[in-house]
Amino acid sequence: MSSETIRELTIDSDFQQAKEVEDLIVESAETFGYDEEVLFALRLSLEEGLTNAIRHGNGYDKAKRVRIRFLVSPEKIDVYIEDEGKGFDPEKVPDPTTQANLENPSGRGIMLMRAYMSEVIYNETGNELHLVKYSKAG
Amino acid sequence: MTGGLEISVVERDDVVVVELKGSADISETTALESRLAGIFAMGRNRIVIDLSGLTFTSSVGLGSLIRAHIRCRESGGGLALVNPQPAVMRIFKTTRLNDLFEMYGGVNEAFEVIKVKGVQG
Repeated sequence: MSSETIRELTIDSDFQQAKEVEDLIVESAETFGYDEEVLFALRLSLEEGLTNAIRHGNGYDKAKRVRIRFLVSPEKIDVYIEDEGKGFDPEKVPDPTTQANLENPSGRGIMLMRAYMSEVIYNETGNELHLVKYSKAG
Repeated sequence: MTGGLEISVVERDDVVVVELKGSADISETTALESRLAGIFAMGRNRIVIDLSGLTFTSSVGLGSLIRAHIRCRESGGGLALVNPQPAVMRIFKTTRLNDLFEMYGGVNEAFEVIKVKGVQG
Protein backbone atom coordinates (compact mmCIF):
# COMPACT_ATOMS: atom_id res chain seq x y z
CA MET A 1 0.00 0.00 0.00
CA SER A 2 1.22 3.44 -0.73
CA SER A 3 -1.18 6.42 -1.01
CA GLU A 4 0.14 8.14 2.09
CA THR A 5 -2.22 11.05 1.68
CA ILE A 6 -4.04 12.56 4.58
CA ARG A 7 -7.78 12.01 4.29
CA GLU A 8 -10.33 14.42 5.66
CA LEU A 9 -13.94 13.83 6.60
CA THR A 10 -16.50 15.98 8.35
CA ILE A 11 -19.50 14.50 10.12
CA ASP A 12 -22.47 15.73 12.10
CA SER A 13 -22.54 15.21 15.86
CA ASP A 14 -24.00 11.79 15.27
CA PHE A 15 -22.84 8.43 16.61
CA GLN A 16 -23.89 6.48 13.53
CA GLN A 17 -21.79 8.72 11.28
CA ALA A 18 -18.96 8.45 13.79
CA LYS A 19 -19.17 4.67 13.57
CA GLU A 20 -18.84 4.83 9.78
CA VAL A 21 -15.70 6.96 10.09
CA GLU A 22 -14.32 4.61 12.70
CA ASP A 23 -14.92 1.60 10.44
CA LEU A 24 -13.23 3.38 7.54
CA ILE A 25 -10.08 4.19 9.52
CA VAL A 26 -9.85 0.73 11.08
CA GLU A 27 -10.31 -0.91 7.67
CA SER A 28 -7.61 1.34 6.26
CA ALA A 29 -5.22 0.24 9.02
CA GLU A 30 -6.18 -3.37 8.36
CA THR A 31 -5.11 -3.08 4.74
CA PHE A 32 -1.65 -2.05 5.92
CA GLY A 33 -1.38 -5.27 7.90
CA TYR A 34 -1.73 -3.91 11.41
CA ASP A 35 -2.52 -6.75 13.80
CA GLU A 36 -5.67 -7.32 15.85
CA GLU A 37 -4.17 -5.79 18.97
CA VAL A 38 -3.40 -2.52 17.17
CA LEU A 39 -6.79 -2.51 15.44
CA PHE A 40 -8.53 -3.01 18.78
CA ALA A 41 -6.53 -0.16 20.33
CA LEU A 42 -7.26 2.09 17.36
CA ARG A 43 -10.94 1.31 17.40
CA LEU A 44 -11.24 1.87 21.14
CA SER A 45 -9.41 5.18 20.93
CA LEU A 46 -11.47 6.35 17.97
CA GLU A 47 -14.62 5.54 19.92
CA GLU A 48 -13.40 7.49 22.90
CA GLY A 49 -12.18 10.46 20.89
CA LEU A 50 -15.30 10.69 18.72
CA THR A 51 -17.63 10.20 21.68
CA ASN A 52 -15.88 12.99 23.57
CA ALA A 53 -16.03 15.29 20.54
CA ILE A 54 -19.76 14.71 20.05
CA ARG A 55 -20.76 14.61 23.71
CA HIS A 56 -18.45 17.00 25.52
CA GLY A 57 -17.07 19.10 22.67
CA ASN A 58 -20.18 19.71 20.59
CA GLY A 59 -22.68 18.96 23.36
CA TYR A 60 -24.71 16.74 20.99
CA ASP A 61 -25.51 19.88 18.96
CA LYS A 62 -26.42 18.60 15.50
CA ALA A 63 -25.51 21.98 14.03
CA LYS A 64 -21.92 21.47 15.15
CA ARG A 65 -19.64 19.22 13.21
CA VAL A 66 -16.65 17.00 13.86
CA ARG A 67 -13.69 17.09 11.48
CA ILE A 68 -11.56 13.99 11.22
CA ARG A 69 -8.25 13.76 9.39
CA PHE A 70 -6.25 10.56 9.21
CA LEU A 71 -3.15 9.16 7.65
CA VAL A 72 -2.21 5.50 7.71
CA SER A 73 1.24 4.35 6.70
CA PRO A 74 3.28 1.22 7.38
CA GLU A 75 5.10 3.07 10.18
CA LYS A 76 2.23 4.69 12.05
CA ILE A 77 -1.38 5.76 12.17
CA ASP A 78 -2.24 9.42 12.75
CA VAL A 79 -5.77 10.59 13.49
CA TYR A 80 -6.90 14.13 14.25
CA ILE A 81 -10.38 14.72 15.71
CA GLU A 82 -11.55 18.31 15.95
CA ASP A 83 -14.83 19.50 17.42
CA GLU A 84 -16.48 22.92 17.48
CA GLY A 85 -16.58 23.20 21.26
CA LYS A 86 -14.70 25.69 23.40
CA GLY A 87 -12.14 23.10 24.41
CA PHE A 88 -10.96 21.95 27.82
CA ASP A 89 -7.84 21.20 29.82
CA PRO A 90 -7.26 17.44 29.70
CA GLU A 91 -4.93 17.67 32.69
CA LYS A 92 -7.89 18.74 34.84
CA VAL A 93 -9.85 15.56 34.15
CA PRO A 94 -9.83 13.55 37.39
CA ASP A 95 -8.06 10.19 37.51
CA PRO A 96 -10.89 7.65 37.07
CA THR A 97 -8.91 4.86 38.71
CA THR A 98 -8.85 6.42 42.19
CA GLN A 99 -11.20 4.89 44.74
CA ALA A 100 -13.25 8.11 44.88
CA ASN A 101 -13.91 8.05 41.13
CA LEU A 102 -14.25 4.32 40.52
CA GLU A 103 -18.05 4.44 40.49
CA ASN A 104 -18.24 7.48 38.24
CA PRO A 105 -19.97 6.21 35.05
CA SER A 106 -17.92 8.52 32.84
CA GLY A 107 -14.47 10.08 32.62
CA ARG A 108 -12.45 7.10 31.34
CA GLY A 109 -12.01 8.06 27.70
CA ILE A 110 -8.77 9.98 27.95
CA MET A 111 -7.08 7.45 30.19
CA LEU A 112 -8.07 4.62 27.86
CA MET A 113 -6.70 6.46 24.83
CA ARG A 114 -3.45 7.10 26.72
CA ALA A 115 -3.23 3.44 27.69
CA TYR A 116 -3.86 2.09 24.19
CA MET A 117 -2.24 4.61 21.85
CA SER A 118 1.42 5.56 21.43
CA GLU A 119 0.68 9.28 21.74
CA VAL A 120 -2.38 11.31 22.71
CA ILE A 121 -1.95 15.03 22.11
CA TYR A 122 -4.45 17.85 22.54
CA ASN A 123 -4.05 21.26 20.97
CA GLU A 124 -3.76 24.29 23.21
CA THR A 125 -7.48 24.94 23.46
CA GLY A 126 -8.35 21.28 23.83
CA ASN A 127 -10.79 21.00 20.93
CA GLU A 128 -8.50 18.97 18.70
CA LEU A 129 -7.14 15.57 19.58
CA HIS A 130 -4.20 13.93 17.81
CA LEU A 131 -3.90 10.16 18.20
CA VAL A 132 -0.77 8.32 17.10
CA LYS A 133 -0.16 4.58 16.99
CA TYR A 134 3.23 3.38 15.86
CA SER A 135 3.73 0.08 14.11
CA LYS A 136 5.36 -2.47 16.37
CA ALA A 137 7.85 -3.10 13.62
CA GLY A 138 8.52 0.60 13.22
CA MET B 1 -14.25 -5.74 14.04
CA THR B 2 -17.65 -4.38 13.11
CA GLY B 3 -21.13 -5.64 13.81
CA GLY B 4 -23.82 -4.90 16.31
CA LEU B 5 -24.62 -5.94 19.83
CA GLU B 6 -26.99 -8.82 20.56
CA ILE B 7 -28.62 -8.68 23.96
CA SER B 8 -30.60 -11.64 25.26
CA VAL B 9 -32.35 -11.69 28.60
CA VAL B 10 -33.46 -14.76 30.54
CA GLU B 11 -35.01 -14.75 34.00
CA ARG B 12 -34.42 -17.56 36.50
CA ASP B 13 -35.59 -17.46 40.12
CA ASP B 14 -35.77 -13.65 40.23
CA VAL B 15 -32.29 -13.34 38.75
CA VAL B 16 -32.01 -11.79 35.32
CA VAL B 17 -29.25 -13.25 33.17
CA VAL B 18 -28.20 -10.90 30.39
CA GLU B 19 -26.05 -12.28 27.61
CA LEU B 20 -24.09 -9.82 25.48
CA LYS B 21 -22.75 -10.90 22.12
CA GLY B 22 -20.79 -8.78 19.66
CA SER B 23 -19.65 -5.23 19.98
CA ALA B 24 -20.91 -2.57 22.40
CA ASP B 25 -19.68 0.18 20.13
CA ILE B 26 -20.47 3.81 19.47
CA SER B 27 -23.58 2.96 17.43
CA GLU B 28 -24.99 0.88 20.30
CA THR B 29 -24.73 3.55 22.97
CA THR B 30 -28.35 3.35 24.02
CA ALA B 31 -29.15 -0.33 23.40
CA LEU B 32 -27.61 -1.75 26.56
CA GLU B 33 -28.74 1.18 28.69
CA SER B 34 -32.35 0.79 27.50
CA ARG B 35 -32.37 -2.95 28.03
CA LEU B 36 -31.07 -2.59 31.57
CA ALA B 37 -33.59 0.18 32.26
CA GLY B 38 -36.33 -2.24 31.15
CA ILE B 39 -35.08 -4.83 33.66
CA PHE B 40 -35.17 -2.29 36.49
CA ALA B 41 -38.63 -1.18 35.39
CA MET B 42 -39.79 -4.77 36.01
CA GLY B 43 -38.57 -4.42 39.59
CA ARG B 44 -35.58 -6.70 39.19
CA ASN B 45 -32.31 -5.93 40.96
CA ARG B 46 -30.33 -9.16 40.77
CA ILE B 47 -28.49 -9.35 37.49
CA VAL B 48 -25.84 -11.60 35.98
CA ILE B 49 -24.24 -10.28 32.81
CA ASP B 50 -22.49 -12.84 30.66
CA LEU B 51 -19.66 -11.08 28.81
CA SER B 52 -18.15 -14.18 27.24
CA GLY B 53 -19.48 -13.23 23.79
CA LEU B 54 -18.65 -9.54 24.05
CA THR B 55 -15.79 -8.70 21.71
CA PHE B 56 -15.55 -4.97 22.32
CA THR B 57 -16.73 -2.20 24.61
CA SER B 58 -15.80 1.43 24.99
CA SER B 59 -16.16 3.55 28.11
CA VAL B 60 -19.80 4.17 27.21
CA GLY B 61 -20.57 0.48 27.71
CA LEU B 62 -18.59 0.50 30.94
CA GLY B 63 -20.69 3.46 32.12
CA SER B 64 -23.90 1.48 31.54
CA LEU B 65 -22.54 -1.41 33.60
CA ILE B 66 -21.47 0.92 36.41
CA ARG B 67 -24.89 2.58 36.57
CA ALA B 68 -26.56 -0.84 36.68
CA HIS B 69 -24.17 -2.02 39.39
CA ILE B 70 -24.96 1.00 41.58
CA ARG B 71 -28.68 0.68 41.01
CA CYS B 72 -28.67 -3.02 41.95
CA ARG B 73 -26.62 -2.44 45.06
CA GLU B 74 -28.60 0.56 46.25
CA SER B 75 -31.86 -1.34 45.93
CA GLY B 76 -30.51 -4.28 47.94
CA GLY B 77 -29.72 -6.56 45.00
CA GLY B 78 -26.51 -7.26 43.17
CA LEU B 79 -24.83 -7.49 39.80
CA ALA B 80 -22.12 -9.88 38.65
CA LEU B 81 -20.14 -10.12 35.46
CA VAL B 82 -19.13 -13.38 33.84
CA ASN B 83 -16.06 -14.36 31.90
CA PRO B 84 -14.97 -11.32 29.85
CA GLN B 85 -12.72 -12.10 26.88
CA PRO B 86 -9.06 -11.15 27.38
CA ALA B 87 -9.27 -7.97 25.29
CA VAL B 88 -12.31 -6.76 27.23
CA MET B 89 -10.77 -7.84 30.54
CA ARG B 90 -7.77 -5.69 29.73
CA ILE B 91 -10.09 -2.67 29.58
CA PHE B 92 -11.50 -3.57 33.00
CA LYS B 93 -8.00 -3.91 34.42
CA THR B 94 -6.76 -0.69 32.79
CA THR B 95 -9.65 1.23 34.33
CA ARG B 96 -9.45 -0.75 37.60
CA LEU B 97 -13.11 -1.68 37.19
CA ASN B 98 -12.17 -5.28 37.90
CA ASP B 99 -11.93 -4.03 41.50
CA LEU B 100 -15.46 -2.65 41.39
CA PHE B 101 -17.36 -5.55 39.83
CA GLU B 102 -17.82 -9.06 41.11
CA MET B 103 -16.55 -11.31 38.33
CA TYR B 104 -17.01 -15.03 37.91
CA GLY B 105 -15.83 -17.67 35.50
CA GLY B 106 -19.28 -19.07 34.70
CA VAL B 107 -22.93 -18.05 34.66
CA ASN B 108 -24.01 -20.74 37.14
CA GLU B 109 -21.41 -19.69 39.67
CA ALA B 110 -22.46 -16.03 39.39
CA PHE B 111 -26.12 -17.01 39.53
CA GLU B 112 -25.68 -18.88 42.83
CA VAL B 113 -24.03 -15.83 44.40
CA ILE B 114 -26.43 -13.22 43.04
CA LYS B 115 -29.67 -15.09 43.74
CA VAL B 116 -29.18 -14.74 47.51
CA LYS B 117 -28.18 -11.05 47.43
CA GLY B 118 -30.56 -9.06 49.60
CA VAL B 119 -32.61 -12.14 50.45
CA GLN B 120 -33.42 -12.33 54.15
CA GLY B 121 -32.24 -15.61 55.65
